[in-house]
Amino acid sequence: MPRLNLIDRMSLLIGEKLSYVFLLSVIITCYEVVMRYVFNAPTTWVHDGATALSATGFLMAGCYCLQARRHIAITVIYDAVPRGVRNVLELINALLVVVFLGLLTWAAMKVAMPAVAWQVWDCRVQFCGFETSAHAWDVPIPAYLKSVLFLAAVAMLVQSLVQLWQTVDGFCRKATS
Amino acid sequence: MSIEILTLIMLGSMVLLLVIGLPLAFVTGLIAFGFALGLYGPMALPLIASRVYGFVSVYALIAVPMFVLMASVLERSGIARDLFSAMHVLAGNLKGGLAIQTMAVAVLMAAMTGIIGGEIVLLGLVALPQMLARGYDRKLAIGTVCAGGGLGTMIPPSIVLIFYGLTAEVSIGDLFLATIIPGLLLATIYVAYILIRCYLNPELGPPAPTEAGPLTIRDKLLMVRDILLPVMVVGMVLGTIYGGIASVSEAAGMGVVGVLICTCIRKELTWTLIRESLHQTMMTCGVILWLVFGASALIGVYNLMGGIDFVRDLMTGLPFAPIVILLIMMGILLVLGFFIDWIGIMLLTMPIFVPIVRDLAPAFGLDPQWAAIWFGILFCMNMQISYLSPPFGPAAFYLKGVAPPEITLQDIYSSLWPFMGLQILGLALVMKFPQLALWLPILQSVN
Repeated sequence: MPRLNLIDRMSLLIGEKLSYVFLLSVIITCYEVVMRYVFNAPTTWVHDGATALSATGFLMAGCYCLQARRHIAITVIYDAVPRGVRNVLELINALLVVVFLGLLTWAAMKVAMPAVAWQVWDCRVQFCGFETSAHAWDVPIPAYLKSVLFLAAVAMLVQSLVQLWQTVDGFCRKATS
Repeated sequence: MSIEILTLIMLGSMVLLLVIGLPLAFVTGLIAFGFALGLYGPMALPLIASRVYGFVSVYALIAVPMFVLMASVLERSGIARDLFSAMHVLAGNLKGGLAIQTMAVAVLMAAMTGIIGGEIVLLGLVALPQMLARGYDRKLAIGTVCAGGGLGTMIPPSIVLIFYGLTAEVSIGDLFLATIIPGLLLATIYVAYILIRCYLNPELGPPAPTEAGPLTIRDKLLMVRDILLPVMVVGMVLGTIYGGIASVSEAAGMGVVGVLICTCIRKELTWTLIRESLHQTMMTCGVILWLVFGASALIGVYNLMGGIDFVRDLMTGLPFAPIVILLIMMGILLVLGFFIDWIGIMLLTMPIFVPIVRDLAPAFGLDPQWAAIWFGILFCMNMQISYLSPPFGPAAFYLKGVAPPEITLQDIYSSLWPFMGLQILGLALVMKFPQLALWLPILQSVN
């Protein structure tokens, strides 16, 4: 197993720790069922809460999979070509992932900014309020999830940059040796 | 530029990027961004990103990690192994009995899991070695494990149908009802095939030697426990859904608790088990959801370009009978199934196909909504074939991971052809008789 650098370790740690959101959403969902049927007192927050918890997991899991290189790819051709070609393909792939995630990060920022309603005016950051869900449980879940989307994109971008760097590094080493 | 040219460029770039080994999620996402940038300028990108947000904020989606978690816990416990040995009463001294037993366990397990993978791994670890040791024909044994394990997404609960329900905007509960008969039909076809083969040539599946010694009371009690526990979990999940007690997501939550209680009764419940199951859930969800994000971004941009209307006009304008158009769609799904994952296929094709099916519904004598449900079951059956089809059939990869080393990927794929034939037979039956799928949900909606 190759030695993990700081970013790899962080991606792994964040992914592993955040996986508990799924357990939490199971627990509160069952709490809701019990409250509804046994105590006849349905909650107002479980629906949105469980959705927000799971969504956090879904979004952040992208980075966990990227670190482990588990995103599904078709590698039949990739595996069949000679080593030299494969190295070039690896480089192109790593570069394309960075391009995609760069665009995603920018787009997610554009989505999150108005939701969180940070308005930059005259170099002064003015806090205006959150976009809310207008559901029974009136909390700023859209603003929260859009921010998580942005964070997930940033985490993946950083991870992909590390992988690009590793690929370039490996490519140069193979080229010189 | 005309939509024809753009469609071709899109398909071409997709094939190119896939072939060089870029992950599917990034291929679709990158092309979506590329086309949006080129056609509509940078301000279209946030629109795409907000589609991702739109997708994750759907309540029904929380059932997905729950069913995955359930399967992960199940995979780590001995529930499946003990269920298999307890079910040997079924095998008796029937020719091919062990394979039938495997299929029965597969169906029961499928009613607890909604995803392909775990089940094949479990059957590969538990049932395959026993069949091989008993002198079963290798191909028959491998085929039984892969086809049976694939039923995980055919028998409710099913992650495939959850995503289908979200994409096609039909009731997931109705889909879960509709898939019962087709799922059991497939299992029955498999069983019939095994029995026929083994009776024609008993060497393929020699009957079990008569067991030595009667069972003690303790053995019998353990057997009852091993069968009752899984049945209880199945009852908890499906009972809450069909009984209309709770939503699919809530039933999934109950299922997780049910499986955890089972492991607790079996004294297998540890933090390590929970932690590892959660990690696996995170990984599986990441893979699935990011595929969803990419594919839904791509199809969103394609729709914006007028592509969906284009394909729809193209297909409905064909001078063929509705059944032929349906066959063409099934053919496209089948071919795509050889190359990409079910989730990619679904997200990319269903936004185009489902409206066509709704349009064609009167020709089949169906209500548009029921036609969409029927089509979902057809899609699900079609994906059963894609699990087995080379060169990327996931069933084969899962089995290869746990099969004895002398079994190569080649062996596995060559064992799967007859079962793919059986699946096509099942698909054809449900296509010819939509009532196989629609009888139960319509029955329930009437009551």
